[in-house]
Amino acid sequence: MPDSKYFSTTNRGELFELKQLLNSQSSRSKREALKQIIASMTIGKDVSSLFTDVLNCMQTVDLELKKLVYLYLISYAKTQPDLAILAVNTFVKDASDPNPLIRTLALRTMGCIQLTRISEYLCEPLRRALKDADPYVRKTAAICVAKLYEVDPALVSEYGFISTLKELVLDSSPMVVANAIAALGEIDESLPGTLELKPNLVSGLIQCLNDCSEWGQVFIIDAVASYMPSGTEEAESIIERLLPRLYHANAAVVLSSMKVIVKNLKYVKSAEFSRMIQKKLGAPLVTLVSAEPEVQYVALRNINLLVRKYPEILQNEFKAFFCKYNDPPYIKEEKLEILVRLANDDNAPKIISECKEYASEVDVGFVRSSVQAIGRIALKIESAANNSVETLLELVRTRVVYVVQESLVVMKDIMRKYPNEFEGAIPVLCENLEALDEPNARASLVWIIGEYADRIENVVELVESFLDNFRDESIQVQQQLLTCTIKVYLKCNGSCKSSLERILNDGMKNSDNADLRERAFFYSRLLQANKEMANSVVLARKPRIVSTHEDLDESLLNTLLDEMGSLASVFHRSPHVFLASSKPLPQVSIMEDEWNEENAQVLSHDILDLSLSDKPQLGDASEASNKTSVDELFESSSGTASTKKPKEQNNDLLSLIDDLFSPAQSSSSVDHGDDLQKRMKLLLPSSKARGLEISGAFSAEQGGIQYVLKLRNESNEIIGENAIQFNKNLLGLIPARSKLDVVRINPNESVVCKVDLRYVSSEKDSRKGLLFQMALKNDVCGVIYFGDKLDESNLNIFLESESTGKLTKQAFLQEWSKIGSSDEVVKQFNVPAGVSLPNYFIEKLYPLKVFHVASSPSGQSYFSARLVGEICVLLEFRWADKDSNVQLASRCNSAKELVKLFERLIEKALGK
Amino acid sequence: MLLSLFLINSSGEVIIEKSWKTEHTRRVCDLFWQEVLKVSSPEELAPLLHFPKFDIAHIYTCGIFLVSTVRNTLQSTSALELLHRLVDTFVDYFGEFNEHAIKENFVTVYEIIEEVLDHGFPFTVNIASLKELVPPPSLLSRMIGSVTGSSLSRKDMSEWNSHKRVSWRNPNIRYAHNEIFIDIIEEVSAILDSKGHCIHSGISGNIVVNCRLSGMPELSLHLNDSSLAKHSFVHPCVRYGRFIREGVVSFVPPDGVFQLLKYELWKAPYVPITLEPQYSVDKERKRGRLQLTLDIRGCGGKPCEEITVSIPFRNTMNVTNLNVTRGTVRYDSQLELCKWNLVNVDSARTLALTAELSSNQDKCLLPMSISCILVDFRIVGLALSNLSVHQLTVLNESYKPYKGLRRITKSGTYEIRPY
Repeated sequence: MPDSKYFSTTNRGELFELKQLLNSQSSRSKREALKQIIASMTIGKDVSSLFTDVLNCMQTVDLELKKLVYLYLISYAKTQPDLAILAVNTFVKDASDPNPLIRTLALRTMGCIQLTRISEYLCEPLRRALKDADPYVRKTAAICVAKLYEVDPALVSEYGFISTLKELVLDSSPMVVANAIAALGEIDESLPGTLELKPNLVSGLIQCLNDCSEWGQVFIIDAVASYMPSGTEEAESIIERLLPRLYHANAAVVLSSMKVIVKNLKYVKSAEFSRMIQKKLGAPLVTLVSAEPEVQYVALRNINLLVRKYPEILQNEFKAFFCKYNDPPYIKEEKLEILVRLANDDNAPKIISECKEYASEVDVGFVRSSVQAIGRIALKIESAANNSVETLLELVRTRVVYVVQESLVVMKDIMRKYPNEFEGAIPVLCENLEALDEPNARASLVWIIGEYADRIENVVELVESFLDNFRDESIQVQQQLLTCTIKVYLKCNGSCKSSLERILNDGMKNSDNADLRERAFFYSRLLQANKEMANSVVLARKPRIVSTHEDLDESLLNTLLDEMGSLASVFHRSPHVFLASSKPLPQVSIMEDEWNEENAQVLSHDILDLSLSDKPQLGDASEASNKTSVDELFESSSGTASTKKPKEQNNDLLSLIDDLFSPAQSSSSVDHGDDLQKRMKLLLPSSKARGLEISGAFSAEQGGIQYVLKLRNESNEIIGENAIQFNKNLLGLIPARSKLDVVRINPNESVVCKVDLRYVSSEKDSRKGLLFQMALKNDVCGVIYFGDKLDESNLNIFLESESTGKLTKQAFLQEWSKIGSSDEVVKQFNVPAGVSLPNYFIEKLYPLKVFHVASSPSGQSYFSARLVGEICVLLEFRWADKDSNVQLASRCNSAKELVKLFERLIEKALGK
Repeated sequence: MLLSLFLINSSGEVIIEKSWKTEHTRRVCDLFWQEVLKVSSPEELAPLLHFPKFDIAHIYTCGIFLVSTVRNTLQSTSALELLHRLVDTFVDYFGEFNEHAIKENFVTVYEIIEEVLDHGFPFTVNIASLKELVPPPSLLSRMIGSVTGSSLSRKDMSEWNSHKRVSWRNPNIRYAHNEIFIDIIEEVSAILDSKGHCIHSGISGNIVVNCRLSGMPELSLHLNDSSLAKHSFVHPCVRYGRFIREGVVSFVPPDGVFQLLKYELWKAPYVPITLEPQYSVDKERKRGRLQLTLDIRGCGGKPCEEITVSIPFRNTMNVTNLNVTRGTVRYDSQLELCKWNLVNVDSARTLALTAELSSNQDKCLLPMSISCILVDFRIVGLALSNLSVHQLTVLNESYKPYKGLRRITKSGTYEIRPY
């Protein structure tokens, strides 16, 4: 009974029949029916109407039937959330079945049904499963945490699953360890800092590699890659312990280990050790070249990167990169590229002769690359130039048209790099004049003729033969001919004069091409003005060319080497390109320098106030929206930039307020919206951010802190894939999700979005002062740096309410002495006369969220305030009776700037 | 790390679909298929493709594309390796891998995918342990299933136990005849020039064990060359530390066929077969003559079981008077391919092929018309690296098993440059 029969049946009453089968008593008919249903699913037929009937089959002892039902559930639960909830009971029951297989199956399937309502019921079984006696269940549970996190991160933190996962990293079963690491790694992408490795843990992980499955090894090694060694010793030890992994059969294990080793090599001080390790890297790389073509491709792309940084490691193994006849084209191109990079004085002749072999292959594209490769080696290695030229001439003699043309282009570069060395080649090159039909090749030959005009006997004849068909040539050739003719004229004492006049005239009068026309005018005036000058301009020495191929930027190369094996490393493109599915932004530590520079600029550029707060123009919401659309119409037709600016900003703000009024945010009050509007400040004008204007402000809502961003797209492109990242800051606040929930911003559209912030202790850095450095990234502008800062207007948002903000006397004392007097800031100010102290303080400071702790009758009063991120500010007021002068001493367990900010605020509130 | 997996047949139809991220639906396949249509043959499509919203890793084999969308952060090689392993697994389960086999067993395919990839994370691909979780669709289980309506899997299930001393072996295995077969298989790859000199060569070797032993035997295998330890991959059952220190392969074997050791040598001690082409073209360059001299040397006196020489021609050629001193030769004008088959050729023999060539075009361009000469061969009884087994001892069990050793050398990519 082959299963394929299920694919063919398509009769009408099918669904009805299936229903009957599902409701039959025999589990065999049920199985048959389910197979049919799953087959229909696969060919894209909708079988969701059978959901209830399938659910009824779920409670069975027949494991095969159960598996089939689960397969169905995974696919359709999302479309039938109300019915899916009916499956929960069976799932929960199965999750405590004595058979570990069934427990696993239930847990795995439940995790796959990513519905919030199901997730609630998942937590309890998951909690048990994470502590299950059977490792198979535990490893499934570990992955299940990652699944749950995707649906409902709050539940994960509520149940403390992340810390349970961290415990599983120390599990006795290696497969559990590996899966726990994998799950932590995935959560780490949206919650950085989840997978934080400690030195002894790294050591333990490497220890357990031996017992892990190959995929487990990959997870663990990749995790170790994110660990930064404390010093040269630790780096050396990691390298040494990972060396045996380089001989693994699985290419992923090899490349991951290679990545860790290369990364750690940077921290190794001993040059000798480093050299010794580099020697050992060659062999495993060569082994990868004999893998399946697809895997080989990834390996070759990475080798390509590696040899740029460490060319020595493979120079002796260059033969391993010789192309085979049956290699797919993408492999051949890569091998060729690596061969060029590996070429040195010793092996160049062998590589050149190998390239010559390739030049006789069938694939025209590859043949061209091979010819170019010969040229590139000549440009790179001086001692190989002779050999290259000889080989190229041999190729030219084959008279295969595309080989000849490519060779000519390459010869031009070589003759430019080594002037006057290869003039012997010119006659051979000129022989093929008629065969050339590509503009690039023709232009190259014309350039050569012009350059060597005085060494070619029949140069006039040659030039004339080109000039006869001057008008039929492509622009590129025409321009080159113009220059060539004038070179001939200057070099050969006025020969070709009549031709030159003709062609200059032709160029000036008859050409449609502005470049050609200008060039002709330029030359003709130059000649009229001064022949000597013409000589020095036209026949000037040319700058030397180094290579015809672009090289990767050094910092990009380093970044890519750190990510060996990733897609970025294969495409040789910055990891940001793969934003959608990768870590949102580069690690802050790498960008430290950039931050400082860029931000200095941004912040010195005074944070502009929109100064609209004075004249709130709250109109009717519907009117506002009408206005917007009318305005937009108007804009698109007139496009007068100068008049539209202020209007638009108004509209934006109106729409923003509109936004805040909308039912979804009903909790926010009118005042709040107004307040937010006032506080929104322009952070970066569009001219500095590649067409994106950024404004923003902090806000507090529903017990959380958000950053409200207004993005206005002033470019012509649709901006998508927006993501934001914060640098370390005083309060340790970073976006909860780096991806903005704005899908895309159309040109001339502005959007407001909220970024939920959360506190992460590792992101706290009091050295950053009051600055919040932020980076926004999207697919059009790349990475943009900007910043906001903590000031009087937004400090209130970060202050905790009375329940936490008010310290007990004891806690206050403890904290006060812990900070110590060295960090105390003292200030004097006057209070209005006649107020009763300390009640005046308590009253005035309460709205500022600075709370009274205690007072003593002798004229002392103590206050405390707390900020997000476990920062507390302690204040001591001292005054003498009947005196309006008050001394304020403040202590804070964070930056001094913060204390000063507090003082200003308090002085403002209390002072006269 | 894998976000979705699709199996697509050669006409673009999705046969199997599995997605771990909602947004990665069949639409992915449509975009992928547009790329497939751009290349002349499926093998030419680069294995990794970047699209604005997602990235694809794929392999193509036996008329099936295995396509998956992947995350950047993880090893792209693991995705590609995994796809290859999946194919291996399917071959092991169904005996073959093609559209028919998948459709025939699609439920098992889904079950395997569920088991191997949880949430897109690869897990077990060890076929022995996989088979305990997903029973292969054997004829027997089908018959029982159709007669009694129950499945065998339930029985297997009750025995399933993840606390076994070694996860890869069930201690209750019993055989009437205890046997163990060890195959040393070496694949020689080489590029030779037209004079028979070796430009580049290498050996990738495999030790494959077919274990049919009862109970929990403890084996130790002594090889004659322990220097291999440095550059080899071993099966997880091998005690790695001891292997590195002493060069002794000691292990508790899984049941059935498995790959014990894989090693790589970058230079073959010698190349067993050389081919020297010679050409002559008459004055008018109308007709040409090709003579190929094939030499077999070394091989420790073992005969070559089979040799196939393939000569792909570049331009349409008229091949006449095709003669060989031994074997059969055919010219397929459709494929423009000349094939020379030989069986059981003794070592130290010289054989020849001659052919007269003329071109439909005006000139006969020899040797340019030949792009390459490829050789496939198989020599039984020889390991080119001279690797052999010194001793194989069985501890822990009282029986004396039958031990068989076989050595095979065959060709990997073995090609001769025509000029």
